[in-house]
Amino acid sequence: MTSKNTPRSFSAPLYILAFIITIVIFGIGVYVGTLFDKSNLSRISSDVESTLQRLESAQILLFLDDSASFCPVYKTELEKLERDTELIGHRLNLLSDKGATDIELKKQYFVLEAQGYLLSKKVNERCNVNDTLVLYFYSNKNCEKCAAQGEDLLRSRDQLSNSIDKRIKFYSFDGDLGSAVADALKQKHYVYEYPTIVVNDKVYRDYQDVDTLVKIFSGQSAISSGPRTDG
Amino acid sequence: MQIVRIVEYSIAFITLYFTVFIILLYIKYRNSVSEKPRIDKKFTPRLSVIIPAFNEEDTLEHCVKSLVDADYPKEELDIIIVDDGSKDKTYAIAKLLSNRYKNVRCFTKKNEGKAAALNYAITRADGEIIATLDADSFIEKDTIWRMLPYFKDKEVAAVTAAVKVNEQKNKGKAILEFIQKIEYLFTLFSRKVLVFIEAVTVTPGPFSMFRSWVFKKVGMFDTKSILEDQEIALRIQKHNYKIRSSMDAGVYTEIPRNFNELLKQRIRWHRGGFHNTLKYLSLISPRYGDFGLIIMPLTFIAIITLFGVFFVAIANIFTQPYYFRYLGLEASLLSLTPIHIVGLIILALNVLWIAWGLLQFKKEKISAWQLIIYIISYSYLLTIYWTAAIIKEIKMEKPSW
Repeated sequence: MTSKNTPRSFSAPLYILAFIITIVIFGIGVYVGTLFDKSNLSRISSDVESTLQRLESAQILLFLDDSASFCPVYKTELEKLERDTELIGHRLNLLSDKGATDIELKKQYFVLEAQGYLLSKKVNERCNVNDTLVLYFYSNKNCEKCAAQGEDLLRSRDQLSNSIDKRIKFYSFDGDLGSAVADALKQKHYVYEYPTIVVNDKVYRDYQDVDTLVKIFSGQSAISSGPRTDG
Repeated sequence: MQIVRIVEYSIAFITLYFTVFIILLYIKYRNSVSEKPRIDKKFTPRLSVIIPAFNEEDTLEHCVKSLVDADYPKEELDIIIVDDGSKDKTYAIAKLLSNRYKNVRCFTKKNEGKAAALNYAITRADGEIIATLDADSFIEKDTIWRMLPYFKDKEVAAVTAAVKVNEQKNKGKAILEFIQKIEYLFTLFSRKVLVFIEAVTVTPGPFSMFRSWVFKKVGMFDTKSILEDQEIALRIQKHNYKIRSSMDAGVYTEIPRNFNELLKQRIRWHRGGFHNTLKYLSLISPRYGDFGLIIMPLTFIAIITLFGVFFVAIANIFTQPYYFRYLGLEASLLSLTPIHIVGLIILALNVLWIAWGLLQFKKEKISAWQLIIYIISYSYLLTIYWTAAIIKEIKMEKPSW
């Protein structure tokens, strides 16, 4: 006695219902994810505004008192501001990498960076500080090596952190975002390709690997690839 | 990385779809899941129970005694022990048992693996129904009665028992023991639901019954497979015969008690499962209805999904190291994408599925803490099992017991 072969069936209504429910749940996931990103961007926007205000206060202090007696105060406050600015930059980059971008917020961030850069320059001069100021110009649209360059800049700083006693500060700008501040800095330093690094006003075009960056930052290599920018 | 995003979203969508499908399936058949066929003590087909044994001197007697003590007419019960070339006292114990009990026979042969031992006994079995029972397992008194009624449906070719963990003296308090206990119960429930779309994919070794002609029609156990209980089930499915699953015909089996043993067992299961899936890729076809369109593809996709998850995880490690260095835990929160939200929903649905499953077994004492530990640890354990299995596959190591 043998069993009959089982006729197979299709639960077509279940397939369709499962598909519809899946689409709905996916939609909810996308919506909640988008809300979450908006909330993060809003928080970062508040951070940018408050950091800008602190920066402006520090600038006013600098202009009010041109003696060197306040240098320790400037340096401490500037360190905090720069740390906070860099963290804001990492947050913005992370959100940007996963597709959550706010172009106006990024432009505002570049204003913050530019102000920080100018203040650092002034403090360097006023307080006889030898910090290395690095402008980094990149593009998210048209630059294959820019992502690697950004990481290598951080790596080179990590390598040098114990061997030199000056600080290396990065100020990065997306040159294709339409930011007035970024465009002004590009014009000043004759930046026309990406990635380009400007170290203490010396221009280095194209990708620089970690070893080259270490030499540049530690002052071992003086060969830049562009004209002096103050001429 | 666009390709990473595409892989992530695809995995999430497929996983969510199948999860929703299975839940809808349960909702549709929820009233039938706990139904049990009526026991009919007049239905007493001759039953041959085969016990393949390799180095089972500690458990063989208890196993055989559970059969001998089973509530079933002794004259219709034929117990066949096959010693598969054991190095310990297994055969000596088998001979003692065959001398002690009239309906127990024993054989010894050279070691060729479990499937070969089963096939050896099948050719010597005279039962209308042939059952396989692991030598480290034992049945309850009424297990046979609870399984046989399914054979009244002439289209049923095989019936699986409710495989549960043989709990030790500390009554399931050891972590590995209760994790496996919950896992076995949950698997039992999932298998029962799959019955409704004729999609049972394994006739578990601890105790399963087959009509004797199954072995003539579909062939004997595959001696090359290390997961012969799944392989034959897939073969039965290929021939479009029915497999039924009992949720109350209990068989208690020994489980690995330490992590090394558990890992060894799971590597065999996953590697065997992978080989069987590749062998039966032809079952992915509308010819096999829901089984061919949903369950078999799911089995295959689950393996590819695992590779996909590895790919995404590795890609993320290499593309985002600095964020985590400078932002710490905040990077994890900022990195949350809609996929993570969907993942949380999938997790919630799986917890619901587990809860429904365990509700079928109210008599089994499982505390909320045990359930939480199971839910948290299971995906990590599964990842370890699969990772180890994949490494062994890549190294092309010979699969073994």
